[in-house]
Amino acid sequence: MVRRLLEFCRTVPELVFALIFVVAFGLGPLPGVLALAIHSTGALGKLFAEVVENVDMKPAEGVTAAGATWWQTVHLAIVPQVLSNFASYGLLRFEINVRGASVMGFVGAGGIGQELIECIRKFYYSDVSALLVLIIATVMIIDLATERLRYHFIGQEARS
Amino acid sequence: MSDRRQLTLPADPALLARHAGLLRAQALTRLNMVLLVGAIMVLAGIAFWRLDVSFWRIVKGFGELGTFVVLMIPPSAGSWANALVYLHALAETVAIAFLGTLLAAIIAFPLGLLAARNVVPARLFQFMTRRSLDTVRGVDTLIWALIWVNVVGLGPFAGVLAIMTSDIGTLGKLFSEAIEASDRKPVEGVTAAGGSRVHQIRFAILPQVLPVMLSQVLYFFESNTRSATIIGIVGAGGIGLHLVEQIRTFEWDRVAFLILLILAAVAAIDWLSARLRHAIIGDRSVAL
Repeated sequence: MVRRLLEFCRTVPELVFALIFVVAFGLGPLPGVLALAIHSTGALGKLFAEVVENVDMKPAEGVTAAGATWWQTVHLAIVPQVLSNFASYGLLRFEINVRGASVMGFVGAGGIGQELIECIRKFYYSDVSALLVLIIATVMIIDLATERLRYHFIGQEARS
Repeated sequence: MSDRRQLTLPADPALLARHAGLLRAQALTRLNMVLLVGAIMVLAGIAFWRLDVSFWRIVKGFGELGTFVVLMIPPSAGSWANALVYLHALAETVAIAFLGTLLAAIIAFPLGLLAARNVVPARLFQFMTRRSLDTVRGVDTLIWALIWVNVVGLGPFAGVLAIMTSDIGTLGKLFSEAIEASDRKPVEGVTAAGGSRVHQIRFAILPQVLPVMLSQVLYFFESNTRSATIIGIVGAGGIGLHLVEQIRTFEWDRVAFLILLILAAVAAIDWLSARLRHAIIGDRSVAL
């Protein structure tokens, strides 16, 4: 049931959520935030579930054998295995969402997209290219930063 | 971490002294973690404040959303003629996704080779290819759709071009990564047997990466079906145009019908491409 719900959240495009939320919450960044949040919940929920399903059960068995409670098993055997993957996927999603947020403005859900669609509609092409350069630069900087962070997290996992 | 120590052994001072370095490293990691979480929370707070997100507005909005959901039931297309129009638009959407992915794959293939470190030894050239792929990738499909609509006019052709352009960047990057991850030994074998660079690519690299690439392309076809549903919002063809119209005119039962239609189509294509991918590469998962 939860799976079907997550599937629904990630199949309906963010922009459709944004369109509906703009009607419900009014113009502004709030519907954009919520639309991205719902879509990402769907996508990350699936990835996280897969990560948790793929953990090595041996540490859990070991901890249980040493007399740990359920909570301690999760904390000491499962979480250390999945945390780096969670962080890595979360950052990847952030990267994707930066791109997604750049178009939220097309439907009135805030952000730079608002300016962009106005400039394109009015044929101010030099403004369009300036905005595109801005977006690309932002996306690249965030890509590079998150890539660094992700390697850091995954590297930690490889070491331990 | 302290619970773990308690679980395994009583804190023996001699042992602790011997592994002081390890323990200090652990404490440091912990401190880093706390700092990281703190920083994220502060950032989130600032973002909430700057974006003017108020609790009251959220509550009110959800109330409104509830009304919409009630109005959405039962989903209906209005009339059979409408349903046919929507189905036609859906077919157009899938066609846009298919053509866009196909063209992107064809163009991205040589670019992927050029961007791979083990194919093109000239670092500068490879770096330039990579960065230009990044640039193309940094712009969202919808922005490309807007630009292409201005170039070739309204309609599905703009949609095909938009999906193609944004996917060239991503597929090119994925292809180059797949090529870089390929095994060196067959290449050495071909070289030892007197093969040229082209022979190396054809006989040593391609057989390794082709299944991976195919399954990546299929995966992109799936995801493009989703993107193709929204590019209609800016007039680049497909079902998105109808969707945005019905939302703007508050025909919530039709909105629900369209969303269900999209969900069904996406699920069908997911299933199909999952089967195909399974047939191509078996149980191996693909890095995306």
